[in-house]
Amino acid sequence: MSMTPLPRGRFQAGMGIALVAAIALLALVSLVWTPHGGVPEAAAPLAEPGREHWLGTDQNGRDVVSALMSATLMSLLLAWFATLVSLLIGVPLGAVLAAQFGAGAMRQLMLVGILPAALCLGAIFGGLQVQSTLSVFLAIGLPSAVAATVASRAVLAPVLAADYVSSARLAGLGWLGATQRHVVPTAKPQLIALGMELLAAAMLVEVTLSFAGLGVDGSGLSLGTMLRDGQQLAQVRPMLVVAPGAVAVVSALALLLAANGLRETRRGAA
Amino acid sequence: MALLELKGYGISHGATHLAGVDLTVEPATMLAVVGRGYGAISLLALAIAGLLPRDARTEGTLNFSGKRVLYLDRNSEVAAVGEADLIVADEPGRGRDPATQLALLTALQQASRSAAVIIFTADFHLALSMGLEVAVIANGKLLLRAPASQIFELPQYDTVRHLVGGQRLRIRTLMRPPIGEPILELDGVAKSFRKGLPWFGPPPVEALKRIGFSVREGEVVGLMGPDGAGKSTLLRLIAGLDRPGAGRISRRPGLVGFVFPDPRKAFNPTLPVGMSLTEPLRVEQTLLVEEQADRLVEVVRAVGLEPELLTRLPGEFGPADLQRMALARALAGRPSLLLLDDPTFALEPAEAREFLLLFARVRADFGLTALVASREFEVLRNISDRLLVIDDGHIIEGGKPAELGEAPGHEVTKRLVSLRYPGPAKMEATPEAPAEAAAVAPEPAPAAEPTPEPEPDPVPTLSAEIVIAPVVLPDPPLVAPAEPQPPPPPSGDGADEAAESGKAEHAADGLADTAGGPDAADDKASR
Repeated sequence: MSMTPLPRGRFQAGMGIALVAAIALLALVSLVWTPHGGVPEAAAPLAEPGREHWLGTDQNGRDVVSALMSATLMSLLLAWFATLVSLLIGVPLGAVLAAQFGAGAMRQLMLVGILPAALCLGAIFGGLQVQSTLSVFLAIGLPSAVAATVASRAVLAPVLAADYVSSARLAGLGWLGATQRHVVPTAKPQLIALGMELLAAAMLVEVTLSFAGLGVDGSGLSLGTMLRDGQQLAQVRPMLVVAPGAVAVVSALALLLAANGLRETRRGAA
Repeated sequence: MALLELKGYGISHGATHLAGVDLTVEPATMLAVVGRGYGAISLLALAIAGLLPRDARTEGTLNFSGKRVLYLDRNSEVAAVGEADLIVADEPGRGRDPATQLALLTALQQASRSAAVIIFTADFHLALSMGLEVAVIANGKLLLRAPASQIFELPQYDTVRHLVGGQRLRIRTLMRPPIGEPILELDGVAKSFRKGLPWFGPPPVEALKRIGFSVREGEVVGLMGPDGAGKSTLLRLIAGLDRPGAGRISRRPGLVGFVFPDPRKAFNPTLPVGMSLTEPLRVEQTLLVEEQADRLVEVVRAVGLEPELLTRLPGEFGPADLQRMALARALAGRPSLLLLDDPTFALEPAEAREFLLLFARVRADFGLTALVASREFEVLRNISDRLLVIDDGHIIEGGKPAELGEAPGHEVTKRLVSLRYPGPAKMEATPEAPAEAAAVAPEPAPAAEPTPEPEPDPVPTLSAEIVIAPVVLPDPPLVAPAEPQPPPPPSGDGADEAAESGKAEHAADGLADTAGGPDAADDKASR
């Protein structure tokens, strides 16, 4: 029908993206500037939130705002790269499966796809006992790649089977030309939305794993490790837990909001 | 007291409006509400059934004094009609194969003994052949109400002529190109599909089983078969969109033009149609930009449309014009072979007739070789030199359309070439138990008996029954094909109608969203 997207979808997408961008910007700023340079000030461990330290300091005397900025950057980067890798694996795989099997055989595919990922997870945490940033990366990325495969296949199958794609193939454009001309523009918004959802999930998985002590190296600072370290002092200094938790949850929700908005916008346009 | 009474009733929903409808329906009668599809009549059907979308506004009164209304959309089967005292059927059996539609209509006819039945349709011939009373809706108003056979004598006839269309389509191809060497040969072609992954899913389904035939240059071959016979699969294999599981398909090199069943799905909704039409031209890299433009203009004019329309988006066209554009796209690459997969599927009867006339003209102009798949004998009879009947993955017989119509060799063929509408209801004469007869497709017994018919040439039973012979109709404008030599100008009437249908299409879109329900078109495309 009309080409104007539903205003609600646009609003959601805009809100979500603005929030995520703001959080990412703050995180990036930590590379060049933080209120207290991120250096522990032994003089003032566990300072109350105040004019000097907006959210106080932790047990090592580190300014919470500064730590939060660096930790957010770490968490975002980890989630971002894990998602990127999972999309790079999942989307082409999903496209091949969509071209080969169409929209059918979903259940069997889930089974076949989830098994190796589950095995890998087991191997990482059970057999290898590697606690490192790499293992978090894999733990986030592998299941995410499976999810990306399944979801992108669902997105691509109807587009690849569309009569106008067939028509373009017959006109001599071939699979490649038809993909460039029709499939990519049609599927792009949905795939971007998918990426955002995976990113949100990845952030939460990182937080969970690091909190459980399976995550980022002991010295590394991420939202998950901040939560873990602040946990013992939650009674005295609740801000040590509330702040990183809030950043993680707000980022994830903002991403989901943006994804939802994008999908709705597309639905309105179709 | 009337069972249903509408007084000054009007509905608006989106771009669809209907106003000042006065209509009464008595118990145990049958009425056909005829109008161009696209919204208005479907909306009225929903209103009577009490199923209007929430955002529709109504005026006037609608009184239903009965207890139960049964609403049937075009995909419904007539199962439990017994309870209802009013049956509202929106385009019953549209897009189904003739036998199914006949069974549905016969069942409705029998149900009308105990319940009032209102059939909403775009097909005037349905009402005519069933001898129904019609209420004609045009331009958002109830125009007249009369027995179908009297419509031709009424002064309003001119206004509703577009609904009635060509009484019986008989296309004469004036310049038939000589039929030459084989351009396409199939030998032992088979194809099966599996539902799941190898080793996991159920065993594959055989869609085609050892198909072999050939098509010669300049020939138009019709491929007739019921739903699910393998027509689309076969065409996709020939086009090279899928690979055959076994057998050999040899085709003369060159592009294949393909016309899909539903034009609304055959164009990328986000690109102007012109962009889609240039696709086949990109292959010929020697073609200059101006030559490309010329070619585009040529094919668009050939299908009776204006090149100015090329900048529009597919959503701005009605199905009829969009299907013409699809034909233009198929022609743009100067294909050595044209494949048409149920090209009239999405069109209303009058539009389908226009499309077939257009095809016949274009065929002569371009010297086309084509393979046309359809479930409708009436479609294929008119445009093909030779018919192949396909059922369950086999070619079961072949021959000239007239011969097959006269003497179908197989049960399936017989079903396909037979009646699609029941005759006027004279049910008391037939002694069968009505309830059971309603459920199964009755043998087309009346068709087998040669009814006295003043038509001079031997005609297949189908048309013999559809045509109410004594009625002489003024030719609708497009039926006069004239000579094909000059560039075929679209007649003024046709253009008006095209514009009208374009407008109406938006209305249909609006309704389709809210009316919901599985669309027959979806079924088709997903197969």
